[in-house]
Amino acid sequence: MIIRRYQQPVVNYIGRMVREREQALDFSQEIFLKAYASLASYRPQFKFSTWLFKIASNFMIDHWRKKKLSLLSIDQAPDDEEDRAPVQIADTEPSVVRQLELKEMRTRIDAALAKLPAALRELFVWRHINGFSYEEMAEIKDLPVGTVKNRVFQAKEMLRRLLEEPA
Amino acid sequence: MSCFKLEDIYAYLEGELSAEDARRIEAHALSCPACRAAIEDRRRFLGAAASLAPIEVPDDFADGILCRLEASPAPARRRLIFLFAARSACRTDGAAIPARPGRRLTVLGGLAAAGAGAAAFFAAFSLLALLFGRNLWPFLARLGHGSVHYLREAVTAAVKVVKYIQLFFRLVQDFALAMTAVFKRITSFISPEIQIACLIAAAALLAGGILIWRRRSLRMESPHEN
Repeated sequence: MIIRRYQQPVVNYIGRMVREREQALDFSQEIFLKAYASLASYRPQFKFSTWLFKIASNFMIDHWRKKKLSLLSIDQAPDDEEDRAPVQIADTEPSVVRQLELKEMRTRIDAALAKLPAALRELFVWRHINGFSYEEMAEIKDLPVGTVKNRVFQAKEMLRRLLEEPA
Repeated sequence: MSCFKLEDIYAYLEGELSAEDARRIEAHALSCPACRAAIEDRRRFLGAAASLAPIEVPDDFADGILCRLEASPAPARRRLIFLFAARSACRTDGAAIPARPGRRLTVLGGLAAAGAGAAAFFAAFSLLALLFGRNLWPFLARLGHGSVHYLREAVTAAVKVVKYIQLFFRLVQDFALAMTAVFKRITSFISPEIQIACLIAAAALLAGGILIWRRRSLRMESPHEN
């Protein structure tokens, strides 16, 4: 059944975005109800998961707009230039991740996710928690695949730098 | 060979590179401690991110949504798409009441209900006896006599209805016989091969129509991944 098949991915996504379980469950139910109300707009040639997550993403944008958060953090990511020079590995790059045990790292990543800008956090969660491909995320956000890859890369490196900060 | 870009490292770790590019990175990492450390570092980081604990979804999550859907004024056909799974009862505020397992009507419960019914009948009879005293039986006889009269009228009406139904079926039978005669006359002009071809074409059209209708219904019930 549709709800049981997609409830975990949707709750995982919303939960990482709002950082509060009960609110995430309420929002997830609202999203499924919106999906049900919009069923007439679903086109079978597209994946149902991308259609559902488009509704979820728009729901979160509306939520943040109501909370009057900065639109820059919602709709744009910093440094969105596709021509940005790629980052080379530095010889003296600290290997902070190696020093953390896996369990501690998970906890730190979970906490650091809250500090990411919403636009980057959303894409990181989709890529590395929900397991979406770059093409699927580009379809959801109606962005070029290159932009999505760029933003996911920024999210990953920003998250790694946040892990270096003292807990 | 110069070190690889971080984007390439991530692409390698996520399996996005071609086999040849992946081999080049692995070969370079063997001789470059910085790249080797960066790859390992980010491998652990991505592994930890991918293994974050899922947020627990309660068992009645779907039931809560279905309860709210039931309360919505949407067309019944669209509701059927979501209302597939067995679900528990709904509260008036739209939340689901968790189903209590193992609640069945026991034999003892049935006997208790029958006993309560018998007790109620006896109590009603006793009350009537108290009210009417010695006049109870004549009262019951008058009631029964009136009931027999109504029953007789009902049987007479039922017999009339059965007769009308029989007449209707006789009419249908006569109509079917007449249509058969007409059909025989028409098909005598058409060769058996053409008749068979027409039958096959009609059957194919019917089957195709049923298939298309069924596929449309299934697509609405459970949209599948393309």
